[in-house]
Amino acid sequence: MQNNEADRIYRTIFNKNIPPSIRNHFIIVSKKIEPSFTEEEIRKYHVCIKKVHDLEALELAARYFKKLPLLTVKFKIILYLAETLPQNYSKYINEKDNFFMGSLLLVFSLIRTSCKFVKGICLLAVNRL
Amino acid sequence: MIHEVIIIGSGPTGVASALGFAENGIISLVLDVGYEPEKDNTLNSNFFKYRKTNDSFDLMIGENYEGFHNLIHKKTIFPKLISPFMQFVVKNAEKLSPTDENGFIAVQSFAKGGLANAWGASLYRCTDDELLNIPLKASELIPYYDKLTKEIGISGNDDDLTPFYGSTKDLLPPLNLSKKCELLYARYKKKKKRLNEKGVYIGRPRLCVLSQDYYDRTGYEYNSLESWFPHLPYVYAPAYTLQKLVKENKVIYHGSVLVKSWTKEDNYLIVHAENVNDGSMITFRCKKLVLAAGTINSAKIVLNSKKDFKTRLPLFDNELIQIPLIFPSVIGSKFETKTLGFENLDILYNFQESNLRLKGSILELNFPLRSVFYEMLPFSAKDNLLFIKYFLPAVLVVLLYFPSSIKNSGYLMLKDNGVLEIFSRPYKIDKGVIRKVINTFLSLGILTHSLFIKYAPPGYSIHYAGPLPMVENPEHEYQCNRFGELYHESDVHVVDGSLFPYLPAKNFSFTLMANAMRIADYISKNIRKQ
Repeated sequence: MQNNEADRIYRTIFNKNIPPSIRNHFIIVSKKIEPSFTEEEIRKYHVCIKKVHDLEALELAARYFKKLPLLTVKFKIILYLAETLPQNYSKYINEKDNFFMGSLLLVFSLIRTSCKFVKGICLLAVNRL
Repeated sequence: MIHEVIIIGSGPTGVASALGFAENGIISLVLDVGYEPEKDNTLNSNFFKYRKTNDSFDLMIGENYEGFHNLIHKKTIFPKLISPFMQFVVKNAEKLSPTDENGFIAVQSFAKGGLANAWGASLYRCTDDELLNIPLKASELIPYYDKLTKEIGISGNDDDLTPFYGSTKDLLPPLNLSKKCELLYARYKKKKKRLNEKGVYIGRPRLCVLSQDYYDRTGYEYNSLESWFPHLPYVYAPAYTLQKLVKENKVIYHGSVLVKSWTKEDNYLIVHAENVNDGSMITFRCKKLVLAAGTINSAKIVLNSKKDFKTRLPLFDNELIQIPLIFPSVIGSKFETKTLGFENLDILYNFQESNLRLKGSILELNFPLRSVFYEMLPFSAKDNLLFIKYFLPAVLVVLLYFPSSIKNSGYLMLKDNGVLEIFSRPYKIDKGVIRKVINTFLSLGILTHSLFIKYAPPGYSIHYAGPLPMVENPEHEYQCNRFGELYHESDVHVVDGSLFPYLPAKNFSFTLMANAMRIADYISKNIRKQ
C-alpha cells in the first residue's frame, strides 16, 4: 500500500517514477508519523489514495479547509525527500536569470491553482471527505 | 570540597559570568547537562554547490529522520532546529524539563553553550530607554560590552542605527549584502530624509559573525552553512569561550548534571543535582551560587528550592511577526547561493508619538531545505514548487520584534509533579502600527500586504524574561536587587533573562551577557573583601 502511495504522490508532483531510495525512506517515515494521526484521519487518507485520481487538486482544497491532514503531511514528506537528490536540484533552485519565463510561469501557476482549487472542492464533496 | 562559586548553565550568561570570575582570578565550577554535537560536519564547500552533485539525504534529513521532527512530533520547531546537526541543542529538553505550554512555545536547551548554538547571531548594546523599570544604567555596562566585543568578534558598521546600537568600538567590518538587500539599502538612502522624519532607520546589524580572520578563527566564507551546522569557526558560540577557559584552567566544567535545587547550610550552599546518565542524585557545595540556566529553568530551580507549587511568576517575551517583502523586478532571477543566512539589514521604527520602538531583522530566504516553504505558500503542490523556484528568490522577510508588554505577559508555575505550567495571552498588535510598517516598504517600491503577515505564536521569539525581576528595593522572595541577589538569599545570584522585567524589541542577549559579567565582577569583589 505504502509503495503505491509513494509512487502516486511522487508522480503527482514530479511526473516521474519514484526513485527506490525515496520510496524506502517514505515507507519508514510513514510508519513513524502515522501513530500521531487518528484512525479516522488514516482511513480517509487511504480512501483518497484509492479513489481520487487528481491528488494534487484534492490536497490543495484539503489544505485550505484543514481537512485530510495526513495527505498534506505525506506530500511534504515526498517534497523533503525528493529535495535531497541531485537530479531534483533544478526543481527547487533557479539557476538562470529569466524574468519573463519566471513571471509567465507564475501567472500560469496562479490560473492552474485556481482551477485545481475548484476541482479539489468538488472532489472533497463528491467523496464526502 | 566547597567551591567558591558554582554557575548553573553554560549558555551566553553562564559563560559571560564564568569569564567575569576568571578575570578576577576566581575559578568557578560550571554545572551543566552539556549535550554536544553528535555528528561531525564534514562539509567545507558551498552547501548548494554540494547538493547539485551529491545525494544529501544524510546532511539534510539525517539517518534518524531528524528533518521530520516537526511532522513526527506535530510540534512547531524553528527551521534551524530541523537540521540533523542541530538536534543536540534541544535534545531531551521535554524529558529533562517537562512543561505544560498551553500554546506558548517554550524552547529549552541542555546543550553545552545552550540555545546560543542555534542563535540568530545578533548582539546589540542597549540604551538607557531600553532598560525600562530596571535599576541599571546603560553606561554601567559599557566596560563589559567592550570586553565581550573583543572576546567574541562582532561585525557591524557606523550608520544610521549607531544612535540606537551604541558604540562601534572594535567592530569588525560588516559582511557583504545580498543583491536584494543592496537594492533595498540603496532605495532607503535615496529616501532617507523623509523616512528618518517618520522615525524609520535602516542599517547594518551587529553580528557575531567574523567578516575576517580573528585570532585563531577564520572569517565567514559565504558557504550557506550557518543555518544548518553548529560550531562554525566564524559564528561565535559561548561554547568557544567555555572551552578556552577550561583549557586555561580558569573554569572547572562538570557536565551530565541537571541541577534541581539548592539548600542552605551554615556557611555554604548545597546544590542538588541529578546525574542525567544514571538518574542518581549528586550534591555540590559552594559559597556563592549563580543561576544562569536560562529564564525558564532558573525560575524553575528557584521555585523548586522553595518547594513553592502555588506562586505564579511573570513571563515576558517579544511579540514577533514575519512580513514578506517582494521585489517584483527580481522575479525569476537566479537563486543567490552565497548569501548570509542571518540578518543582512536591520530596520528600526522609532515612533516617538506612541513611545514605541520596533526592530526588524531583514533576512534572505536562503534556508538550505527549500521544502520548508511549502506549507507557507497557498498554491497546489506543483505550483508551490514553481513558486519556491521562481518567486522566493525575489522575496526577503522581515522578522519584526515588538517590546514585551505587561498587557501580553504570561506566567509560569511549578506543579508538584515537577511539570512547569506556562500560560500566555494572545498578542494584540495595533493595526495602525502594522499599516505604518507596511507603508514604509511600499514607499521603497517593495510589495507587501498585511494579509501576507504571519503572526508567530507566543514564545516563538525565544526571548524570555521576567520571573525574577531586578528591582531597586526587593520586597518579596522572587525579586532580586541590582546585583541579581535573590531577596533574603544573599549567596544566590541570578544573571540570566529572568532578571529583566522588560524586553526591548532589540535582541537582548548581549546586554544579558554584559550584565552577567557585571554581576560576576561584583560577587568577585565581595569574595575578595571577605
